[in-house]
Amino acid sequence: MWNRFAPALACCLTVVACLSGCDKGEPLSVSQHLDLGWEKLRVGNIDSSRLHFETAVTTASSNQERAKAKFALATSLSLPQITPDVERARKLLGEAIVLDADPGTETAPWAALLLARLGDLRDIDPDAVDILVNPDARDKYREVMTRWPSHPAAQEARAYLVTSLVAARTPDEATEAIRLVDEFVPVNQNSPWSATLLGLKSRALRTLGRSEDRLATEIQSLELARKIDAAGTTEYAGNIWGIGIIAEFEAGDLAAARKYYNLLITEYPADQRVFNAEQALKRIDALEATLKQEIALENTAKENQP
Amino acid sequence: MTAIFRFLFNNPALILIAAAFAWAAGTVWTRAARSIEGENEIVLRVCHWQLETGYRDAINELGKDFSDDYFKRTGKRVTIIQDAIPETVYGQFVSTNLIGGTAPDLISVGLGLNGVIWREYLNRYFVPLTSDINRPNPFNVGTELEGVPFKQTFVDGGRSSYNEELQNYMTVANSMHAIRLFYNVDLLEKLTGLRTPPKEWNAFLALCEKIKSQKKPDGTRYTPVASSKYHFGFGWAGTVADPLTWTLLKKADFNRDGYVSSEETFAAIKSGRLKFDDPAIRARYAIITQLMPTFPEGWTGKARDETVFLFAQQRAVFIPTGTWDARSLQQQAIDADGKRIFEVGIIDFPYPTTQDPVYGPFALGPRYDRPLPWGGFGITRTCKHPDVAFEFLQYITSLKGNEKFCRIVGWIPVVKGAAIPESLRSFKPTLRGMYGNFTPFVGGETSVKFEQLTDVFLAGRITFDEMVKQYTPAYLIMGEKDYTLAKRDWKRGSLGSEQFLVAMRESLKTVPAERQREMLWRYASLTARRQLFPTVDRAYQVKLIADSGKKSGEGTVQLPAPYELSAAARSRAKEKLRKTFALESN
Repeated sequence: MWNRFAPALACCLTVVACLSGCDKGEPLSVSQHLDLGWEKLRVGNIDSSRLHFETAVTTASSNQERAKAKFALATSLSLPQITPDVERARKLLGEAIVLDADPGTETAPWAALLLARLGDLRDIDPDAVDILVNPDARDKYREVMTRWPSHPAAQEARAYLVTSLVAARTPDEATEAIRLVDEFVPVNQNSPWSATLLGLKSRALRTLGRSEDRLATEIQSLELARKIDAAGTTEYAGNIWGIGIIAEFEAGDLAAARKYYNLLITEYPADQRVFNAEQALKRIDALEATLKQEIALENTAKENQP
Repeated sequence: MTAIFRFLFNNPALILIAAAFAWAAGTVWTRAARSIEGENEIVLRVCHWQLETGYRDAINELGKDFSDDYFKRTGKRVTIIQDAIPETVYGQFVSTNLIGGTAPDLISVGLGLNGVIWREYLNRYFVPLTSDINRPNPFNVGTELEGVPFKQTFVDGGRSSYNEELQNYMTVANSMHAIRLFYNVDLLEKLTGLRTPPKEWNAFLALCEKIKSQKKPDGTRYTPVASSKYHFGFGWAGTVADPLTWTLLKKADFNRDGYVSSEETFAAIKSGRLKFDDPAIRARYAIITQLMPTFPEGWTGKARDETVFLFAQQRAVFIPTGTWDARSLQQQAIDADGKRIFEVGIIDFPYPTTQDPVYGPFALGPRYDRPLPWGGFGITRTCKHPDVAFEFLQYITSLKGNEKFCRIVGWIPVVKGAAIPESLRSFKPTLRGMYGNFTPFVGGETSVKFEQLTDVFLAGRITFDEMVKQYTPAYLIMGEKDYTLAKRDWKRGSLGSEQFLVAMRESLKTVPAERQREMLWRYASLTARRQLFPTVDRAYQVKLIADSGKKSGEGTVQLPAPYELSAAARSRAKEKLRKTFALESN
């Protein structure tokens, strides 16, 4: 009985398997391969994203399309920790920059930015764990800024360049970072990078010990961020707490400290640091009382002087 | 035929298997039949792992209410079918159904699979809710939340619904959890004459002593607190012992962000600013030492269920657990005829007062009670009626809906302003209080060593001082290795972040023009939080730890105390006040 049915069953299963495996749809276009590849890369599915990008590179029909595909493939080859091929990625990025060199280009600035990023991310010895940025990459960021000044990649390159300078923690580099922020922010108030650049400037001011300027910069950064982030998608509890701290412990501006601690309490009542803010308010009250007493004593002493 | 009967008679297991198969097939068939929608009917399948008493009743009850409401508006009924899956197979169930295209319409997200897989599933199989979550919940009309964007109606502002990697709101939570001390009111009264235990720490300990001194009819002693290692971790260490280390901020929160990271502790210990026998850490262990005799013998080896059994059998008076167990514990206190065996009471954990001679300097306020949004449902892409599924989620998280839902299930509402039922008042989270700042290990090696010593300490085989004596030298040596590994991991992590960010930036090209600005902002702020600021902040941390190892003269360099006012800041503050004085007097 079984002997009779077994071959028939095997045949049925084979037919079903073949049918289910058949590709009934149209082949994907280059842009569909790119979209799918980026989606896979975003959630960490590296192999699958590379397959889509490789197909896009081989099937692209125009220079712009080819540049996009090469940039995508270079990203999937250079950034993942698993089986990277950084040298091939650099080659592809160089080709993408050449292919898409027309005015109004879209891909070349991003490819150049990724090349600069590889300087920071891949060109530092992995065993040199205390070295976080690579000064050699700075010229590459500057190149993106000067070659495509109005492209969004230039704004991002500026943010990375400033980061690299501030992370060095030297007065000269901090001063240069501040200059880069100051030449950008006043004329780019609506840029999504302005508030971040001000946050970096604040850290540079810390290196220089300019605490009152730092407080003003942090406040400016917060106000600008909230203006740009009209939909309120970001949480600012940490920024508000940080301003209170800088005001109290660095700038000695007790009124500002009080204002921002209170802001944390009212705007983020569930934040863990609310208790800290309440303690800080008590601390400031006590300090202010002591200082007032000292001032009163000093004034009295002055008045009593002949 | 006779041969078949004889064969079956000799193999009863086969009959059993066949019967089980028939029952399972029947169940599947019935379920499938119920899933078939009638002409004026919409069926929503809801999948979760909440087998605790009350949850399924709450979903059913709210489902009926929603159906009535929907019927009035559209003339169609909505039937909710629940797949309540045990925790142990939840991940497999969800995976199989999502991949097989047979997924329920609504799935509770978060259990049984690791975070990366859930993220992949959310991306591939679930519907983003971002565009809907910013609009007001229509079921809040006529309430104080009318017109408020849906996400803003949640206690956490909808943060738990948001998935940063996917840059979208993906789930909707329906309740919150908190951890409290449950107790047998009748047994407490019988043994101590009290129906409400004291809140003050020493009075509570004295009460436990009194309980322990009394014997059951079989001659064995009562256990004051039913506890296992599971209950100890979140129940006692997290709520009573850890907050006593809040003051460590003043010694180790070098970046003054309000938290002590493991790297900051490492720097503080290396520099000598902090020692493991710091009075605050000593207080943490002193309170644990006082607690341990109130637990059953051999408590570190007991399982979670064993401990619950001890409480249900009235051999222990107290048990620490979360709201998820509240209804189940209350059910244990009722017999088969529905008669109450004992009354279950709930209190917040006892805590030392500021006047306490030992703990007073560290118990500067109440403990912070972190609200934990729970039960986030996502809508699957195979759902035939995603709009109705979303409406159902809005219904159970409307002000009135959430109040009712949580009243039935016995959990805490997640919606702002929703009344907490009287029996759950003690669950209301305390949002202003102290939290733990003891981060005793840097990475894997120090963690293993610390856990080993903790086990020996909890078993009562070494004292706190012996533990510190053994741990400190090991920590300093292993900590260096762990810290090096942590730095390497951070570098690897920044590659992963870059990969995600570049892919995210590419996806912005397909975002509709009206959302471009918002999405660009999100991209820039995420880049700042993941790549830019951490690079700078890490650079400062590297310097901090390097400085902490520098020798100066005879001793190690003392790092500056994070919350000490510098002379310059003090003088500026005084100058500003002087100017204010001068203005006032003019």
